Amino acid sequence: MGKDNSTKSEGQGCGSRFCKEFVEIVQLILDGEASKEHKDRFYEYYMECNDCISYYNIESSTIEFLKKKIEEEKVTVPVDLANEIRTKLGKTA
Amino acid sequence: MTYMIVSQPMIDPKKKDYSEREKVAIFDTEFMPHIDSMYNFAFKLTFDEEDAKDLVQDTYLKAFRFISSFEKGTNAKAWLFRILKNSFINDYRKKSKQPAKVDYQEVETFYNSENTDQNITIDLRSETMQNRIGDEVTNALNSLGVDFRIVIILCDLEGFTYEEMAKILDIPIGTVRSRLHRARNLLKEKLNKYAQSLGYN
Repeated sequence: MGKDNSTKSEGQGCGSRFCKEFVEIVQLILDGEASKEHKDRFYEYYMECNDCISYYNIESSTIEFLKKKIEEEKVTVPVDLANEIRTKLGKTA
Repeated sequence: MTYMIVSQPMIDPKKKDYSEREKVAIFDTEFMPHIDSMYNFAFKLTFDEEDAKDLVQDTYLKAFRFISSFEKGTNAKAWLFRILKNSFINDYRKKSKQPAKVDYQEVETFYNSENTDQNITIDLRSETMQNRIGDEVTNALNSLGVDFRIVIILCDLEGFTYEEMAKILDIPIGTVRSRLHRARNLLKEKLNKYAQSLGYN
């Protein structure tokens, strides 16, 4: 698991599919937190490294799947909760 | 000659001097619309309907009591989540009959390990894999330590930004990033193990 990008060459990958910088940038991209510099760097990796493309695709679908599953697990708020809060507030306010 | 010393009340310039009518309006229009999200957050922290209700009620009562610290029109949802999280950590968890589900070994391993930056991948692109592993996601999430579970919920369910999460959790943005990364790694590691137990490699 190397972190040295000096091995990067076109079509041959950046030296590691677990390159720390790329992993961090992917997280920022997927969370909508990437700056322009991050996006530029992301496309550099993306254009040059097949492992990076593969990593991004896997990570992207994993996060999307996890979000979907967590969203599906949402529970319904009890119907009387809002009224109970207002009643208690009337007594304490 | 005698002098009467009149003490001036401490005036906090940040505190708002709302009328009762304004307080009720803020409560109804800015706080109450978030009750669904608040209840879901509480339920995912407590795993119990009654406890979640109590926690949400407690949070809203506190929110009203300290409403002068809230500037109307700002981020009410993040403000409420912060109160709820603090209530859970400081008050509720101590009172709870059930011990908090904090896996300190897990937290310690991840915070102190030299391998904190390692990345774990699990390929969930195939539909078959998603169907087989789907039900396990809840178990995997619920088995995470509370610090890790909270960042996943705030980010992946509620869509808070890193900056909002930093304010809710009282931690630097860098810590939000690394905690989220580690939380997802833990989740993927658990799902990976489960996938392997099903015969996937």
